[in-house]
Amino acid sequence: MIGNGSEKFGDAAVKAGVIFATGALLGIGMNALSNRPLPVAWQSEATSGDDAPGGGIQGVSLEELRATLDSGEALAVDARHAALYAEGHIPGAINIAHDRIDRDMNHESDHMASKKVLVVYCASPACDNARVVAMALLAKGMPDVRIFKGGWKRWSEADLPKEKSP
Amino acid sequence: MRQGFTVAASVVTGIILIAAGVTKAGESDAFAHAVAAYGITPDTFSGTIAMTLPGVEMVTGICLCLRPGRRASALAGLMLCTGFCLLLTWQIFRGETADCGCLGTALKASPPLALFRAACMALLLAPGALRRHGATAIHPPSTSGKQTWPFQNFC
Repeated sequence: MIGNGSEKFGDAAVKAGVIFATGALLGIGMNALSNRPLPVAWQSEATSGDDAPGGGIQGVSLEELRATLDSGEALAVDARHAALYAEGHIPGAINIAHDRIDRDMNHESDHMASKKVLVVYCASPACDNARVVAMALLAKGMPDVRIFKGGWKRWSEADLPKEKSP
Repeated sequence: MRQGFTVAASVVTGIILIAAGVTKAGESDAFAHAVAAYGITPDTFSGTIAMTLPGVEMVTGICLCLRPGRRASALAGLMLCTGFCLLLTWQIFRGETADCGCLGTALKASPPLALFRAACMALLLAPGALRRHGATAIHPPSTSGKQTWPFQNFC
């Protein structure tokens, strides 16, 4: 019956489940044997630790972000797509979208040079785009780049001021 | 002609799935971040998906290429591709345009392109997975009653 042309759909579904289970076991085995296995309780850099996004990038909390923005020494960098940035962003933030980093960085180079600290954020603690943009900024020679791991989600939930682009 | 199409579709899709599994397995941390970026699962579950999905893709791809359990293999591939389509649609709906993580970092693809690719794969596999019970088989059952494929009990 297995491999038979008249195999019933129910039988095929069960066998598909066996394929998935075999594959999952293979994946777990490959992970265990790899040089850099993923830990069972994996956490993304953007959410592990209190304020430590990893990759050598310092994280900031919401309170720290507000303090550095109020002092005028920091510039917020929105790593989300331009359309989302236009809908609403942290007041004064510039947009370096993760999908057009080079273009936006060239466009905003004067803004960035005028500030001591750049704080990058994206949509939420789960997103990875802030880290991607922060790494690109560091690679471009920006001296102090940090990540606001809470992202736009946490800023919005705190009911803080928002700014829209025309 | 129809049989040839089904075989070709199965093998091509299988090769793509094997390639996707191998590239993801080699960059499991980057893939875990790509899964987390979808924002629909807790981190720990993203890690589990990153751990297991490459193996699932590889085994499904191998089964599609070797075709020991034709309908089961096609159904597994169809389920995978349909799942990818749903996830990518969700990503597009959220306005995300970053690489989908489908084929590792070596071959980046925007969500719309990846959705098109996954949809094509699903369409290729659908005839083999959803054909009516008793439809003509590409390889008729063995008349000797013996199973003719070495892995057919597993796939």
